[in-house]
Amino acid sequence: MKKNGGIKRLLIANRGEITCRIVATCRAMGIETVTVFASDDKDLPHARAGDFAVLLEGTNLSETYLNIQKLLAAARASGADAIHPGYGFLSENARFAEAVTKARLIFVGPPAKVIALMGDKGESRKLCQSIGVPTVPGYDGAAKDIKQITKEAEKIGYPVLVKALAGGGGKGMRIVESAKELASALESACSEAGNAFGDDRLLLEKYLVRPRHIEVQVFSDTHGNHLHLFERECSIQRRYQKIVEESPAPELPEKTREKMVKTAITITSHIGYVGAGTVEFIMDSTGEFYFLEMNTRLQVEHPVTEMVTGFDLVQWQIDVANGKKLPVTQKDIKQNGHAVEVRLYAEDPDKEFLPAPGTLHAFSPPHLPHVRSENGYKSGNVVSASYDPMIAKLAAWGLTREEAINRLHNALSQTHVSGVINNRAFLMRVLEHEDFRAGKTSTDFIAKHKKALLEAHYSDDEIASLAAAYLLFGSATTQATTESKTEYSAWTAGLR
Amino acid sequence: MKTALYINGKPAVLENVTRKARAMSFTFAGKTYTFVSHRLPDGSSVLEREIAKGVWQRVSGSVWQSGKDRRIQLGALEAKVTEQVADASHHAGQAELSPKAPMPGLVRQIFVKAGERVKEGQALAVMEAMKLQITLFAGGNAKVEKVLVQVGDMIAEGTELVKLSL
Repeated sequence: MKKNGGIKRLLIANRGEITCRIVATCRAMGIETVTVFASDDKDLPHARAGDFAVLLEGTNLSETYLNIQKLLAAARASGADAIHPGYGFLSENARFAEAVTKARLIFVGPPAKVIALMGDKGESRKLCQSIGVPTVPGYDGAAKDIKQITKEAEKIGYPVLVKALAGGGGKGMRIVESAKELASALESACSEAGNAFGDDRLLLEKYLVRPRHIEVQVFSDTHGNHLHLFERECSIQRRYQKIVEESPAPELPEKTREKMVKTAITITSHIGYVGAGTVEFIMDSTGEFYFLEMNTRLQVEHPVTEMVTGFDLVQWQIDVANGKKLPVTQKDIKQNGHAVEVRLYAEDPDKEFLPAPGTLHAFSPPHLPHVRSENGYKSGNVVSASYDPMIAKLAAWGLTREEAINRLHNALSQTHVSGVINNRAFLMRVLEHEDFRAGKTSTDFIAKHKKALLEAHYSDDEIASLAAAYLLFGSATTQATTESKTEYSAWTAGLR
Repeated sequence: MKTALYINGKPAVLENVTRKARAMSFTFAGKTYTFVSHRLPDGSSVLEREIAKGVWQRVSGSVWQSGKDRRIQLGALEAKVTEQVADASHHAGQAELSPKAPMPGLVRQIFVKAGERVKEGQALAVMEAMKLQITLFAGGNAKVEKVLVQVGDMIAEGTELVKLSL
């Protein structure tokens, strides 16, 4: 089937849903796949998703999915001619990209030097500033002199955010509205940071009011073509991680969209980018946006772009790696309808979204028209504490935003997840929320609406049904609770 | 017969509860409900509610154990069900002097030694699970009695990491 060269057998250096996602495109293209797995992942779908499977021995990530030498050895042993890094793990590791190329294998991603350039947050910020792309104003000098710091704060413009350099958990963080509050804020932030992290160094950053996280999907080939596939809005976040993503961004003025995609292309053409990438921006309530960072890989949320544009981004990645030109020009890329994605996590929304590992007794997302579910696990798998807690992602397309949200909500309501505490009901309440429906998304959405999002409101009929289910199937008097076999009971016609 | 349950922490009192094999009925909030469960040839079960004479509504879901709670998914609904009042000592947000592991995971770093004095809010240890690092802080000004775990230990949720005393 394959004509004159190109990738014939692709090793996927990853795990979970993204491995299965890449396998699906390879099957459609007639490319054989090699999947790798750690021994504690041997029962997961990705372990056996490909045509060939290689066990990565060891118990630490550094011995398995992060071990460059073992991955290269797996590629050699299985006769793979290319490696796709997926996302996370080694996908943005320039040394890995270089090692793959040195081993005379094709790396499905940008050249190592581009990964290295954009992977350094400070360097990529400087680069953007040098070509006129705005970045969030800030000051990270080591000045201790209050006069000097006040001057810097004035330059940035109030309100400013005082942050601990060591960072994390909001410790050592202060919002300062005016110059007269600065001295006391610095003093208290300094001692708090010192106590918490043993490092009292602080930095200043412009505090953005109700910011939105909007990113642009870019794609470049080795022939100097730089395209964009419009934007995604990913403002609904917890712990600075996205849980709801959509395309197009709701209520985004057309002028801002145009300026944003143009800015993204300015960056990719300046650095001579190759492959799939994402340029992330943060936008404040006035519509000003700033460069945050660039991800030099496929994103978790790429399905919403695929659903709206109709293109297979993994196929494009492979085509570009094979040296082909991008199959379309910019004017062929249109935003058709709307798509929304949610990330289903094994985590407890009632406990600050802490991961909740455990055995997934049952997991069955529904098969519905215009709904995609990409799953890392199946019923019976263990969601282990050693890995990311994402069980699956669900995405739905609709002609309108409302239709897409409704479809996704219905899909979630029919997704059966049992055995691990998860965010399914929480995600449903996000999709139901009137501010979300109105497109009022910002990165403080969850914090702002926490109470409404955490509380379930059930009718008397619903409470009666839950009580009956408990008494007929689940109460301690119905079943012993000590044996694992009886710790779970499911009922339905044809439950898979 | 009365049965009191706590659904998501809120009491629900069922009255006139009668139960015969796989069928039950009760009164809740002034309304009478009838449910029946059927076992199917493939081993699974169906829960049905009689919404009008001879009309049965079918629902699917599961019940499972999570710590001390039973969790239910019933179609779109989810709930935590217990038969007694939630333990009052487990108030959310109540800071304890010696922090306990909020999740199962790996001990990444320990910053203190036995005998040392620590201040309220001082970082004691870092844990990691599923790519997330969590710093555990002292709940008050205290003395480190004993460090109970080592870097590299896999520990269960609720494990005490560092024993502090006032």
